[in-house]
Amino acid sequence: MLGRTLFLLRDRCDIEQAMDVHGTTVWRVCLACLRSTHDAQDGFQDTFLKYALADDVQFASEEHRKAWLIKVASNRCKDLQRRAWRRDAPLDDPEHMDALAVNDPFALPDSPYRDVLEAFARLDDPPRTPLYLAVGEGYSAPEIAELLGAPVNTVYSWISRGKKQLKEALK
Amino acid sequence: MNEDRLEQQLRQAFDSWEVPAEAKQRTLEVCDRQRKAAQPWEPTSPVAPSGRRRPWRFGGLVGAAVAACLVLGVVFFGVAGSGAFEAAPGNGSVGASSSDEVPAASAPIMASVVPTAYVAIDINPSLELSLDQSDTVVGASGVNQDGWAVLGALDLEGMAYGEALRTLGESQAMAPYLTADSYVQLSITTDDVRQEQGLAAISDEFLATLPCGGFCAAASHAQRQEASAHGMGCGRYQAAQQLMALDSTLTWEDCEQMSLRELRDRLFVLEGGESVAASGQGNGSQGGYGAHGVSGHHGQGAHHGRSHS
Repeated sequence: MLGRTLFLLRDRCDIEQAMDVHGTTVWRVCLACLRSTHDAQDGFQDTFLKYALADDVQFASEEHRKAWLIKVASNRCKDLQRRAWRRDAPLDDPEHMDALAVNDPFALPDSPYRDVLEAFARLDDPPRTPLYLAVGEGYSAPEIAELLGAPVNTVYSWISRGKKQLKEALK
Repeated sequence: MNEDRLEQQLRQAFDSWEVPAEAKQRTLEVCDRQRKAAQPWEPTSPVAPSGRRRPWRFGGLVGAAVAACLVLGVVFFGVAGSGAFEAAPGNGSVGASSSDEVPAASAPIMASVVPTAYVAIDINPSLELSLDQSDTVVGASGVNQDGWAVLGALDLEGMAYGEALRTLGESQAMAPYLTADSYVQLSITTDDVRQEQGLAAISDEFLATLPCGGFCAAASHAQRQEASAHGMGCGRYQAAQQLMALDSTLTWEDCEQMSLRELRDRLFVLEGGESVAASGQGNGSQGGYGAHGVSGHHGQGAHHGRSHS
């Protein structure tokens, strides 16, 4: 009897298609979490590499595939954040934050959104990633709880706290 | 600033974040390199470079030719409609190929029995058995490298589930992992409640024969897939999630290196217990299907939020 014991990657077309449909979401999750295009590139690459290697995972729908990618991306980005914390100055170090805010392309000096993105980048994470998923992707708190493996009440608190902190910063 | 205005500004700001083309290109190149590195065997060789023999019943090209003919027969005579055989997703070449050429590893599609249940076995080797409706093993795969290594010398396909567990338990490859201070979790994923109960009973019987602690639990398809993405079975995955929630210095990569016993010991301490080793707890089978664990299904999310395509 033949069984599926092969260890293979998904077709390139499959990966390209996933990237076309959900690449923007994955990129934005990585950028929201890591606040640096350099680190976001690592998170993005690792997420789609995991997708490529998970050739035996079948998705019931595009929404299911999107949710899977978001979970993998947020987990991978947390790892990257923790590794940076252990190795370098903490990301919340003021000097490091200023360098991110000023030099990182996602907070361009001429951008009309510079103020709000700088304020967003200065938030802790959480609430940064949950806030992105709520406002940027339109997920509900129960859906975000499922994606991040957190209690739903905690997610509500994160989103509420994040918005409050942003309003204070943007006064 | 009111909340609506804040959300509008945030949304507009997020919409300005586009994936750089070079990030996509680089990712595809990395995947291509991995695909080339992962091609485990050449069509003319029956043995993978790692030394693990592929599960061809008839060996090499002969087996491939027989398999191709069987599939063509299934397609032409409509037996495929019975659902007994189904081409693995993403592959269209099996039915089309009538040559002796073995399908390229980069376009994987061979006829395979569709499993109705999966059982993940976590110790630190993590491996998974795929089972059909009669609880016969139709596939065995490692979830991590140690899992593949354990399966290397074994041929479990075609065995009844209980027999496969006994074979694993008695194998030389598993012996170093099944010591008195180890811990084993079996996680069953299936939509068939009756099959789940049957597999649980067999699993509990097997666990009772082991010198170490262990238990059996249910896992949803979503949990199985998430765990697999981290190279873990559901048991280690859930323990790792809980541990990382309590210890923010740990990463997934740290947890991927730990055995189930290590994960549970650390969790026990962080949750306020004394060290399991010091207390002498944790030995012997704890049995009891569903006593701990991951039972229940999580929804796959009916969210239809914003589209960026």
